[in-house]
Amino acid sequence: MSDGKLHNADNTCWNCPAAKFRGNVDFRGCGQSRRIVPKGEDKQLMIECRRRDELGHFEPNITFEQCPEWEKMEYGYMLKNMKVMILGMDGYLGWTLSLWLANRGFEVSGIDDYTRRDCVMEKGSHTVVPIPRMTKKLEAARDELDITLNFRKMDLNDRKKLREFIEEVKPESIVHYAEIPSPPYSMVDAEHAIEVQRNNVLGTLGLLHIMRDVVPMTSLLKLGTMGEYGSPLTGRPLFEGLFPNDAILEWNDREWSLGGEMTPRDPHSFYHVSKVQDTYNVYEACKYWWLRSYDIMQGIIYGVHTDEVAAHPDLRTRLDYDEWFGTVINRFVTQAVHGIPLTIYGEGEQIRGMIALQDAMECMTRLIVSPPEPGQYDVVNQVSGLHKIKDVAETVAEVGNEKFDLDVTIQRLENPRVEAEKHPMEVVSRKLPQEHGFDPKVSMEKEVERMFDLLTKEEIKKRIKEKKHVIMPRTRWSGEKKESGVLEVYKPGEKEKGGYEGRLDTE
Amino acid sequence: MKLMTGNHGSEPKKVIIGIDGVPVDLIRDLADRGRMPNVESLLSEGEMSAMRAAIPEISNVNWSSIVTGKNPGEHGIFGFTDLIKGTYTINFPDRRALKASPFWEDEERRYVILNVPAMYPAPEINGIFVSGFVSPQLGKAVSPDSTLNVLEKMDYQVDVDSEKAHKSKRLFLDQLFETLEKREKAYKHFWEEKWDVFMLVFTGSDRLEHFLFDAYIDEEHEYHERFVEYFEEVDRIIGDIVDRLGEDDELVMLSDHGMELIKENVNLNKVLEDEGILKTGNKPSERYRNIREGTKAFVLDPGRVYLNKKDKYPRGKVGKDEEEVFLDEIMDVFEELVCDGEKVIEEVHRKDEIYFGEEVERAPDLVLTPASGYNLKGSMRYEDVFEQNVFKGKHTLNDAFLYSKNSDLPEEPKVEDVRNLIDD
Repeated sequence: MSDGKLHNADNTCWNCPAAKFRGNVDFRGCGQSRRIVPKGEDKQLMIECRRRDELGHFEPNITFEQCPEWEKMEYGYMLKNMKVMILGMDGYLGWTLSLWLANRGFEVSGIDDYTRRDCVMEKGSHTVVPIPRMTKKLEAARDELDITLNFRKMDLNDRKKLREFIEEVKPESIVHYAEIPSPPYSMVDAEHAIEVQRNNVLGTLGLLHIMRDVVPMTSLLKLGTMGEYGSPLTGRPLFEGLFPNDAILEWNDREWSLGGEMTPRDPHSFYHVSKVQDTYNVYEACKYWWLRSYDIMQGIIYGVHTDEVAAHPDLRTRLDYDEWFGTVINRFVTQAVHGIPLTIYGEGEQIRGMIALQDAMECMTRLIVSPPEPGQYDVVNQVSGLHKIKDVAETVAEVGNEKFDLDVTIQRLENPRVEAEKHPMEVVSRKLPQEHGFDPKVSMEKEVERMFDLLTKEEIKKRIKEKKHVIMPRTRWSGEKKESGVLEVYKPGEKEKGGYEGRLDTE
Repeated sequence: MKLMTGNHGSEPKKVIIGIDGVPVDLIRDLADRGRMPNVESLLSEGEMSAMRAAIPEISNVNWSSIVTGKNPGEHGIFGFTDLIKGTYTINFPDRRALKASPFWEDEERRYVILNVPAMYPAPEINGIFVSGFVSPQLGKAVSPDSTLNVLEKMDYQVDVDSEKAHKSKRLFLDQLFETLEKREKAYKHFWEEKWDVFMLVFTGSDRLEHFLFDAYIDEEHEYHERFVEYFEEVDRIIGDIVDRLGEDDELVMLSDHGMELIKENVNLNKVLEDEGILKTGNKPSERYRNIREGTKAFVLDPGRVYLNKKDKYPRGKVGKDEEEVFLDEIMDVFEELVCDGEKVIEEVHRKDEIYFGEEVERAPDLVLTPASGYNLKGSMRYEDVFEQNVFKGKHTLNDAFLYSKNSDLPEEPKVEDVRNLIDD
């Protein structure tokens, strides 16, 4: 990219979902072999192009830069009208990405069975940013942004229906957001743990089989989480899923290369376990069936803004603040608006990777237009910064106090979770910036300010108040159902900084 | 007794039998030796002549000329491979790239066209069409769609899997006979359809000769008998077809190119690299993407030389005003190429000398024809200029054959002349 090229300019048909692999040809004896052998002396692996029939059979190495079907856009070369299917279209990320992509010329389809709405309702909460029914959202997308989303109400685990829809649409990329994304929800009791694992693990496993049969060339963008890695107390770097080539295991005066092997996973809830299980299922499917996937180890997402969701109140995406589905910054801002001290668990020295909503959308777009090679299981750590939870609380409190004239305080609670409260953290996140041209654009202060702007609207403040009982954590990893006791309340700026600092390795 | 088909009316029918890659001397030899008795008797009734193939003498170029009656400058097929415009990416041009009309586009007549090479995917015609090699998917190699079911039931194979020949000659031969048996079944099935023109091409002959031409030459070779038996089978099927013909029905037989033993394979890109005309990356690769800045020319199989033109290729070097100088330089290099004191290149053709028509612009700038026994190669993966490999036979230019039972042949026929015999 240093030579001014777009990040995916040198990708080839080998990466392109429009390529149909047809076998190897040995033209030395005007011969033909039908078996697909990826490497072989003087044998040409040949493909046909779904979009350029006139090329006949050819070797898969036209670059995106050379191919007229790939056009320059803001985030790299994009396959014209690329068909992207979003599983979990109604959710916080699914909806935002749908509008984002469709507004940039992608043909977007998607499914959802409103599991998220049901789960949040079941826990007695609601999204703090009101969202209308799906039909109204789709209408608003058409009226306000002039985009059409091909949506079907469907359960990810209804494999018959899903297969039919995928056969009908033939998506060129599938983004899989259709999982229940909550550690505390998975720790409520046996039923919740089982439901989370059933939905997530079996849903993904079924999807992989459908992709094998119907769209093997389509890339799967599977959402993992940084939480799969845990937070090793040794400070060992969290590589991007697989060990780099020069990693070495040394033991008993002997050495082995770890290059290319899966790095250790240390999940810390049954939800995270479901994500780890997904990781292995996707990894195996790529190995067995030549599927291709990015496993996206996403940091905690926060924020409310993209131009598309901000275009009209009916286009907004949901924002949860309850203990089960609210993510940390989103909860903090809501708490600040409502006047509750921001809830830090334990020491508050936990370090987490985070990324603003709009930056996350950009990352996803860059990955969608850079599909992995056939059989390639690749992992990216999608974070724009590492932050200590108590520092995040300070930032939210400062923005609230200085720009919105609030009186925000911070409280430390007994930690309902089983997790390290003080730990080093080094995250390697090189692929997005170096291979995919990503450069974060949204600072935490800026996004937090936008959130206050929205959440301090009267109708939203009212909604927070209506469900204020869902804010304090009661789901403990031990199984007890008891609100966490308050260890300490303090004002921002009172605490001295210290302890470990996160280290984000992007170069 | 003649086995007349039910569809025979007053109009005489026309049957065209192709035998891919068979040199005129081979067919004459096997007929003379009594190993192809049906061909022998046909030779006594009609006229046979050597035929000149297209340049280069590659099956898909030849068959494209045969069915269209046009030279490559008009039909646009110059080899098994081509480069996609503006790239160093190879494609394998098939029927979709053919710029001239094959005879079956005349809807006045009804056709059965079985196994003509380079005609994939199958076109919709007035009749039945089954493509020959290279046909990666049988489903797209047949038309109309209802034909697919018939072929699948008989476990029809378009081609032998040549990968087998690399592992075991014996297995390869078994497959070759099996494929021929399926082809016979298919022809018999389609013979019962209504048609005016029936064209059947045997392609196993080309495969057999590529891998085992030495077995034909050497009567002591362990597979000599099997080689000849294959042609006996072809002859038996030809006899069967002849028996089905009426008195006035016409029969044309032909091959698309000849074949001879390979003395040496010649890596022409290695020659260019040694002369500093071709620059490649450090890592040896079979890909033309490995062509680097500073390259003046490169070669595609078999002997097609392309100037690396500035306005045509991503790392193009040659400007318009430099073309003539470079062409002269490259011609000199190849004309001087020798192996054990023997000239390797018989002739270097400039494209304007051998091609005419609207597609000439896309033609190679030079085409080399080799001296006898030298197999020209445009591979990008090579070690030495001269090398041996698994292949024993190579195509030849001047000794395809053309036979007609009923019509006079043109003098010194060329592949483009066959179309007239079909249309007449």
